[in-house]
Amino acid sequence: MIVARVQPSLGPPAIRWVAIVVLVGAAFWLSTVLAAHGLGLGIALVAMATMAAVLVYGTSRAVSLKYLVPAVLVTLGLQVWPIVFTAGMSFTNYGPSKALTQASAAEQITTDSLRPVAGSIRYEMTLAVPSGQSRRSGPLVMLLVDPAERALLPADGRVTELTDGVERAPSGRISAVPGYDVLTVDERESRAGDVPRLSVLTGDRTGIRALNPYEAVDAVPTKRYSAATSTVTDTITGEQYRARDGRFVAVDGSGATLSPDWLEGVGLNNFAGLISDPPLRSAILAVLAWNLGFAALATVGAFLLGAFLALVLDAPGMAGRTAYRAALLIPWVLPVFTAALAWRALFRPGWFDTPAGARIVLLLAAWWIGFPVMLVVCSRALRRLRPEIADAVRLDGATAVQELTRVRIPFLLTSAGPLLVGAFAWYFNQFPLVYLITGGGPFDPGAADLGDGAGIGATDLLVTMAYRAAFSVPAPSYGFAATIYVVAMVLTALVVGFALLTQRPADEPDDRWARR
Amino acid sequence: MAVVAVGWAVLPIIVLVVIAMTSPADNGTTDPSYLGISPDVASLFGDPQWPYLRWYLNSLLAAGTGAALVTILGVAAVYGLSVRGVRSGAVGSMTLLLQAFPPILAVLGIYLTVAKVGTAIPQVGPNSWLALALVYVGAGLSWVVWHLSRRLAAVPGEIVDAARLDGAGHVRIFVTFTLRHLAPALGTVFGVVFVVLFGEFLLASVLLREPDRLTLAVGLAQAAGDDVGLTARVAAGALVACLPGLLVLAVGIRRRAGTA
Repeated sequence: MIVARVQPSLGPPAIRWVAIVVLVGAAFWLSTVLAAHGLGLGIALVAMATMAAVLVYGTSRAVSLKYLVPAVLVTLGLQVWPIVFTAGMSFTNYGPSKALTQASAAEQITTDSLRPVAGSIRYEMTLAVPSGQSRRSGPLVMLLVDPAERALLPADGRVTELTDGVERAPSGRISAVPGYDVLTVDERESRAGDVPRLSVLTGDRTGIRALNPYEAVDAVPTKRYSAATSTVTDTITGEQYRARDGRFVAVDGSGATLSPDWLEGVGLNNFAGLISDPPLRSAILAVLAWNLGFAALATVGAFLLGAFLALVLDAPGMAGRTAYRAALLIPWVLPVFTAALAWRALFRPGWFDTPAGARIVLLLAAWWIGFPVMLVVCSRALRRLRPEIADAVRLDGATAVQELTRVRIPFLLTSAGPLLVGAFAWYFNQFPLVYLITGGGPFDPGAADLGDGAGIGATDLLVTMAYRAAFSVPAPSYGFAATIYVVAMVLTALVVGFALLTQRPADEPDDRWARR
Repeated sequence: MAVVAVGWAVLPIIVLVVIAMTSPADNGTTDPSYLGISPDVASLFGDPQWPYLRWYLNSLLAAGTGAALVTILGVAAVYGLSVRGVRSGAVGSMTLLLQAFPPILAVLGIYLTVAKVGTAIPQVGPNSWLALALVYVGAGLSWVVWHLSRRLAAVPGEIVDAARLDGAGHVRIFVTFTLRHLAPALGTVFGVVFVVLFGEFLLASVLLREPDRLTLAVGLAQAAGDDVGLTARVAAGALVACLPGLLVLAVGIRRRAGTA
């Protein structure tokens, strides 16, 4: 009998609506925070996510979506977006010191060019960071007291007088302001290195520059930007710089440029850069060859080891099977970094000086870390093998060896097929092991490098090379690093695509010999 | 044979134990004549320059929160997919496709996004374990959905149909049927994901930079340095870092023995 009853979907409606109101309120608060920091795209995304949530949870229909929406949002925001972002970056010149647009690059150039003039007003300065930002690395803010004892905040192209909630030290210096965390004396000293670059435009032709960690002074820009002609003019030397290829270049032909550059699309130049220079091209092909070879050898070795141990443990009359199995699973549960540190310590010091030695150590570590999963999958497969099959084969006169080679091993291979493809893709992108054991080395000092001192080592994988290019050189090019990541993505997708096309769905076993 | 295999499996632990019990002066020489707890190990805790317990806490928070969230989102998603009547084979293909783009390849996009969000909301910006946990959720979700959908497919669906005919709402079916039948699988998923995240190095190293915000993976790797080699203290720290994983393994084996 079908009962047509109205079912409240998530508790009584009142509770549901309270939850929705709370959600919308939170989204509104989030939007104001994002707006205060000029993250317009973020507001649009928050609004869309909130709208989707209200639509789905506001109705008593759309039952499946109620359970799917969080996972879909997480997948879009934390998995799909970073991939799309990285891929998009590979077509640009993006880097950490780059401004986003020509105008913001020009603004920074103008700000950096602020110089005090004779007779400028001096200010007592207190250093702070916006509330919640890191005191060690957050953006510095100048809180000033002028000769007339007024509390001033220079920011966003103007000077604001602070009135509410300002606390002063006995010296008259500002000691607290709502919305900002004032640095202690120690913190102020630790950030002394940031002070020389600390300056703010307060108008078209005025600004304020820090002199030392305690004082600031009125200043004027010595470089001026004209948006109409896309030029920057140095008011002291008269030198002109014109926008070209994402940077300002001196028009006198000297090749001098101004920092920072700004973000521009470069088409396929990054990809061309990987293959156009012969020494770099051969170095990258060598990395690719080792990367593929490492993944293949690691996969095969780990599988053989796992399958062999599974067969040993599966042997009848094996005593203490559970204890052995538990011990053999230990590599699976140890933190990767622990194992990497141990492997590196075990083989110090000579092994890592030669490419062959370093590669052997990595393969040993890769087999060690990968065999437990293979062991588990092979053991599970062997348990699915019907015992009658073995008996029947024996009755037909097969020896134990024949039973092993003709029945068990082929069965293992067909069961583990999809796993092998997955393991290959996993080893292909096996960052932590390689990075923590060899760091990609040994490095040949004469070999080609990725620029900025990011070398290419004998055990580098694509992922370790890209990591070094993106995160451990002084002035990395994110665009170029993203290009290497995209190459790795394409190759990984080819492997997984191959698996998708050839694999039998794992939940529909049609193995003739499997138990049902 | 099996003894050799076990020796191979625990080799790194043996290496770490030996280093942890060797005095700093002997470290690296071929003759570790001094065996005993070295002074280095004693300073594992309580050295302000070396916030080991803080790292441990950060690791537990990031991995624990990440694993819990990903398990909850995963089981909800699997139930939603089953309500829509999506076959587990299709889910498998879908999630495999997502796994073709592992977070290890998107780390640059993840880092820049978190850095940007952090300028507005520092609580989920760089140097925050919460941001790391959220990133972990994105990294692990497709595997969790894939695994749970296979487990749910193995459960007969007639009970659900009967309950629905009796007028049970989707919340009740989710709680009394899906959660109850998947409970062992949820424990397994949480354990496996937790162990992997606890040892995760790449994302943590990119997102966490300040000394007292690091996880064990980043802190110990930094302490191990480039050429100094493993000191007794780092080795001891790495050994203590193995405990959660071994605990998960022990619980898993006991549960297996209980059900088999």
